[in-house]
Amino acid sequence: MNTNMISKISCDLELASWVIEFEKSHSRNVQMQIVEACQCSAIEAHKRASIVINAALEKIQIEKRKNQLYVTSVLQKLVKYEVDSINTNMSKNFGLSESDFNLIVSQLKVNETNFFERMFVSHFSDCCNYIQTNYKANYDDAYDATMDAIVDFRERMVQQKIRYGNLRYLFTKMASQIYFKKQKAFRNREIKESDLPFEELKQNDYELSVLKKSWSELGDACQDLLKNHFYGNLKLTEIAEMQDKSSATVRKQKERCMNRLRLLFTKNDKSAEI
Amino acid sequence: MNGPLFNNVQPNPMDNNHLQQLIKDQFDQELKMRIEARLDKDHNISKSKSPAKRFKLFPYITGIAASLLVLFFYNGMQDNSTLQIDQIVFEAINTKILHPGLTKGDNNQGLSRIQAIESFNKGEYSLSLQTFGEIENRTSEDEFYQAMSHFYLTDYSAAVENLELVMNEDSSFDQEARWYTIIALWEMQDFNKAKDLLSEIRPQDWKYEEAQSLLKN
Repeated sequence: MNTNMISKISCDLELASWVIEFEKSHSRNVQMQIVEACQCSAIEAHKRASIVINAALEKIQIEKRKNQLYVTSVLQKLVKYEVDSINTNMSKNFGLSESDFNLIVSQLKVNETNFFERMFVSHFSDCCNYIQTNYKANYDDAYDATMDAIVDFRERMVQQKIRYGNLRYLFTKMASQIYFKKQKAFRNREIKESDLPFEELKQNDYELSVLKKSWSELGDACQDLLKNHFYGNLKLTEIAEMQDKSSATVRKQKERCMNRLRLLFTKNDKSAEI
Repeated sequence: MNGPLFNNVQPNPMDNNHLQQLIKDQFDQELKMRIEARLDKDHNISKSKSPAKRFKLFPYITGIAASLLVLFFYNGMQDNSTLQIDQIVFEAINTKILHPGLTKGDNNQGLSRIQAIESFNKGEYSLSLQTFGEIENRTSEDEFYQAMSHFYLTDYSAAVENLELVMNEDSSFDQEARWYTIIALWEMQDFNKAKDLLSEIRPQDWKYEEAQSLLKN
């Protein structure tokens, strides 16, 4: 016996008990009213009362049925509205629901980027095409702007500066702005290029290589703490809660980790000089 | 602090803020590398290597190249100015604009609008024409892209009729509507009306230079 049948039987039982209750509570009352109004015999009044009760039951059931149909149609309309609204929202948000978006933000805060990467990789070419078509950008420039927009987007997500709403539009606009800024910077650089020493251009790459070496010697606990705090934008109190430690302990640990990283940085920088 | 990093006037890596920035840069760089690898592996997209889609565009590129070749030989029979006009009109017709997507703020955009935008951006202009027409509470943006659907379907008289609806100073599509109306009129050989509209394009407006070229010839 399936659930639909069980539900129908349960409805029928409910209806039958309601009819019995209705008859019990109203038939005597109706009979009395008839006797008082027309001075007829009790048998006649009883017969007429039954007719009245049956007619009343029939009418009430018709009204109930109408009511059910009305409720069903209202529900269907509300469901359709809700589905349309969800579909519209998802199409504007890379196919993500609001809870998916919140999940990605919480994952990014602990540096879990898999879902985030998959989402942006699948929309990469759309954004690239948009910049190429609308701004006559060359492919490599559009590629770079889109890539930089992904990195910026991640940072704003962990800083909770981006809200669910129209992520696709926001992402495209960010990539467009990055493209324009780069073009402007490139034009300015063409003028000033001769003033820039070659070493200065290489500086950041060198520092990053020293940091990379120092980071690998830092130890897992410090790496996790500093990455969660500086890259995942987690507050020290949140990290303390996650690690079941006091805030003061985590703060001290962070200071120690930073000092250690500085020492390693100095050591590796010196060794690079040698 | 004798390392090369401290021998010039660059920010000191021992400074807390600079070190934090370096950490961030390092992980940003790693994120980029992971995304680059995924793009290359899963979508065949990499820098200096356009996506596989480029091959899908091959017939169109060939078509455009052939048209340019025809224009090149045609050049022998015409002066440079005529060639320039042809190129401007050719580019306007063959460089398909894209809809930027739904605008920020309104969360209750209808499905018709989404379908219309998607079909427009896919180049399915018959479908976008129909679905833009089904949108309730139409905006000037909807009117413009519906008109552009007519335009790309080469129904220039309908395009002109629709573009004129959004051609007013209050509309954010005024300049675009004016330009594509001119091109449509040009295609319909209605040069007098096209030139009237060309003369309305001001120096600070979009396509001013092209408008001047068309006017001169």
